[in-house]
Amino acid sequence: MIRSFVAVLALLVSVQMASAQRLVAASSDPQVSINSTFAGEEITLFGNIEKEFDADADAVTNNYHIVIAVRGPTSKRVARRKTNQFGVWLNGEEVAFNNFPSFFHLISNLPIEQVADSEELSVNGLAFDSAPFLQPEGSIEKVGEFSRELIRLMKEQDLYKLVDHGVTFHSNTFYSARIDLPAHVPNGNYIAITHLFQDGKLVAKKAQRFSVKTVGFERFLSVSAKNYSFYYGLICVLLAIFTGWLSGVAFRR
Amino acid sequence: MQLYLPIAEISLNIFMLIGLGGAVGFLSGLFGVGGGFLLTPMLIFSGIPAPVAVASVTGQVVAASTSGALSYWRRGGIDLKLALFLILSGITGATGGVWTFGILRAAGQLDLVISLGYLIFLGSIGSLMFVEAARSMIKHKAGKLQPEKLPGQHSWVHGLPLRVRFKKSKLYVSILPVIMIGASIGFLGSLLGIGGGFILVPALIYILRVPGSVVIGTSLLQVMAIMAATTILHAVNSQTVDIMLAFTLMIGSVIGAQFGASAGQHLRGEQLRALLAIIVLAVAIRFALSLLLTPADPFSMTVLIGGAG
Repeated sequence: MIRSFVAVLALLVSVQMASAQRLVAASSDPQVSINSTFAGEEITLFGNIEKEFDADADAVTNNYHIVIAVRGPTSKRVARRKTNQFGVWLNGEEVAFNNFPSFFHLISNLPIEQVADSEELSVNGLAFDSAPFLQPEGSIEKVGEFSRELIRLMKEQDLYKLVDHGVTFHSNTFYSARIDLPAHVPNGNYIAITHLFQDGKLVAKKAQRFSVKTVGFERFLSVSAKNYSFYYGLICVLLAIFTGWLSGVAFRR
Repeated sequence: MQLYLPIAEISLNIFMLIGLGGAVGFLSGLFGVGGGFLLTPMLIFSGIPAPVAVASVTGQVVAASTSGALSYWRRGGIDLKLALFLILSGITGATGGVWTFGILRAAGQLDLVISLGYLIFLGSIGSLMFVEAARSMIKHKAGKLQPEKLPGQHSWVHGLPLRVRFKKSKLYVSILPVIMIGASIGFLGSLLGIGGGFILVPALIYILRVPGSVVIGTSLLQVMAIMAATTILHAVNSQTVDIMLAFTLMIGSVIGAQFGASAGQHLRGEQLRALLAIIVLAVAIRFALSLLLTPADPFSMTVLIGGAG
């Protein structure tokens, strides 16, 4: 759901590139809460392209393209392949990837290949297989294939996604973008980096952070399961015994 | 209505979960079995990660066996001393099972072992039950009186040392087979997410010659205690017990079991057993297919550090 737009255009800090533009951006939800009925959420990012104070007015014109890279927390992830051994299919080969983003959406106003060439995109971390996001461990020769398959699996779960027309320009310089978080979105800190391209070249970028967190009772449960695992298990058992006892009493004839 | 499962980290329809618990509870009430061996596969087939399915079903089995154990307790149908031996050895077995579970999970072979385990146990027990039920159905048709199987007074089991007297069961047997049975049920139960009643009851009857009056109650108490210990062991060691999932399944299954129990009164014993055998075999075949057929997608992924698997 799109929450009410708050603090529109409030932020001013931006990463300066050797150019005369800067980005001003804000988001609708700095914190996404997962509760028991969480079925995914939509975050809106919006911003404006402004000229530098000392730049002449012609510098801000048009032909802008926006690519937003949204990345979630990283973890060590293993891709495995089933192989047939003795007639049985079992996990035979595996490649582990360190610091693999658990969520990665690339949202652009045009199909991303029309914004810039693949080298420019890759250098700026705007490809799922950019070097910083693929840190394989062990056997190098299978990395290419396994990383492709891992990215495919992530795409099937909508955790990795190319969103071609997710950014909308409302005027020459004002844009908004939607980030679709699926129901199984991982918990943690997210970063959304907005990249401004002009004529195939990166001219400005700006990072925004937001976090996804289970809240309320669900958070209490997942935290207890980690930190007080013995009592968590004990309570689960007591609950089970109580339920069983209650049903015995309630249905006794 | 979607229900977010905090440990499985997915949202599933709450009515589907209660329905699943109810359906399995119905079958368990109908056949007088725990139902874990059906529930765990169903959860795995519906997309819940195997480690979460196994560990959460152990919690559900506790609920399912509690009411039965209590009613046998009131009727005095439990051999406490025998149950104590079975429970102590079972907890040892369960500890080993949970430990093995962790190792297999890290090595990426847990799903394989679970599938193989289900295939072997459900396949062999299903076939045995089916043959036995078919035989007695044929005999029933032929109108012959079924001779009551009298367990022989002595077998190799009764020649073993370290004998202990179990007054309630009128047994004087070596504790070695008792410990072996208890430990293997505990090991299998914690690894596969089953109570093991459908293995334990025949083992108690045919190996130890436990009389019919106490065998069900004793096995229910053992299953309840072992599964309670396993739930805690999984909670501490694997951290994959999803209390929301377990509770939803409990609610469904205790209700379903009541309907199953009353439906069971309209079916004959051997028909019930044949039906159960067919269901058990169907689940076994489902696992066999997943192992033998070329997988649609040979690739899979797991998070090793920084999240639940």
